[in-house]
Amino acid sequence: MQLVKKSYTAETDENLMREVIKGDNLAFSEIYDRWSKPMLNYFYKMLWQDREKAEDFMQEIFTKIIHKPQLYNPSRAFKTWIYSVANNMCKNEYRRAEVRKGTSNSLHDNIIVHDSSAPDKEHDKNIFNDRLKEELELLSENHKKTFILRFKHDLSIKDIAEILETSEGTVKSRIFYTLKKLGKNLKEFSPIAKTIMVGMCLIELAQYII
Amino acid sequence: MMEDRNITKMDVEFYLLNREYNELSSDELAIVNEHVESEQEFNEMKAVVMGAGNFFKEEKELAPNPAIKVALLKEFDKQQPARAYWLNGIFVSLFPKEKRLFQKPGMQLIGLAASVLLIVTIAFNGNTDINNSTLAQNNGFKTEEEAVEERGKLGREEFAEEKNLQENDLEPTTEVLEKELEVATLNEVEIEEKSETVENKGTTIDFMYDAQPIESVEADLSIAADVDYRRNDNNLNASEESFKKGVLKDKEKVAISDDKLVISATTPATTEVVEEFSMSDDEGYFSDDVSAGAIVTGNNSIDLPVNSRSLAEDSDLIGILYTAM
Repeated sequence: MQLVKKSYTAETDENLMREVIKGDNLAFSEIYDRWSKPMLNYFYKMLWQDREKAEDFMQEIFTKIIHKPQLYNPSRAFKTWIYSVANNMCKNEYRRAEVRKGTSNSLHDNIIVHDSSAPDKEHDKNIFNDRLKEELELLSENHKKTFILRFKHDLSIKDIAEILETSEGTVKSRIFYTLKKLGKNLKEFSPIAKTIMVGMCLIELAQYII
Repeated sequence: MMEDRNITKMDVEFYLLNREYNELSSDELAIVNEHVESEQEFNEMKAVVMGAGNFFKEEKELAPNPAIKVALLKEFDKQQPARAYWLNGIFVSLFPKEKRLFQKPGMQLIGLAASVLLIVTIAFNGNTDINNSTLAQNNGFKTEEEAVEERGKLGREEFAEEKNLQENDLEPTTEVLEKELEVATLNEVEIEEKSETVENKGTTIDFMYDAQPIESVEADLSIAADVDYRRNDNNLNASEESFKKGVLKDKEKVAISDDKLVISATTPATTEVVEEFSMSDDEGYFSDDVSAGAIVTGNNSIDLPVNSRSLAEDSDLIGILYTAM
């Protein structure tokens, strides 16, 4: 199969994008396989946990890659580039949401639904997780983005600063502020969090012993 | 100051993830206490960090709809045919089906390119430089007037020498023989030019040195001429003998034109005849001399013996040839 089809699994994202710019659909397929899921979940988190909207935005970002691959600068890390594009798309959606908020009465209800009344039972299996999700939705967009990029997507402070087009100090400050605020709002769940932590440690210990 | 504060914040995050509050050293505690008010707050923040990490790990990630990938790949493929259509568009515009072959712009362009190529090829390959070393040059070319004048001069000198020899009864010197050969050479050139008008051409044997090797030239020689040579060999010797005595009975000529070596034997002629023609008219002299093998007297043609030899058969002839050259 290797003789017939070129394998892109070992290639870096940057090299794949060079091939995509040349018109290689296999390279594009590989890029999609790598980044469709993170993008979908990022949009899902950032856009009020609306799956349809998240899928639309995910499709839109890859359509941009198809039509204007030259927008990507191969000297830049693809990861930070695609997150920054996603971040800008979210910003635009927030602005549109603000406009809709002023003209439509139903928008607020929609947001409320996502914020609190319809937690995703499939993802939130305990109260702490539900509350954490709620609290994250109540955070400002910048703090939320920073927190999600840091703790969900495991990006470095430097990458987050590049994606959000801000300084690393600002990113650190936002993370600290978010942790402090969430800690205060979720202090009644502190023992639960501790239990979770202890439970995880015990599980890991048991696995190590076995 | 701000930079330091940020670093310590990072450190706090590190401690939240990796240390218990009571495990912190005094230095670490000092850093933590700069930003965290109490142990309780530290634990709350720690619970959030640990819980968030766990939450995001446990959270079931959404999987994209496979139909999206199919749609995107189709969209991607649409981009590639666009290039093919672009090329196809050029081809269609250059070779429209509705037009005749020579009316198609593509064909016209091809014709134009071919014309330019042809012109360029001719212009750059046409060698008009006369001084080009690759060109064959005939530096020894003489005009007709010069040739006639030279022939006349040589003829007169020859005649004077012969007369002198006759008077003194002396053998001709090498110089005289050379001059004789020169005259013969010039005569042979004349023969070549007028060979078509000569009645009996069979007795003149031409060697095409440049055109073919000597072996093939020999083969080309008519057998009859060869036989004649052998048959008249004695006559030739006799004519040489008589020549030495001042009586020119048989005249043998070795002539070199631009690309031909011509060896021929002419009819025996007496000195008196030569004298008559050379004195009266150079042209007449040489035109009569041209009729090798035959003397045309009015309407009567008289065949005369012809002596001819090939170079391969007579090494002396080669020596004479070089002398003539």
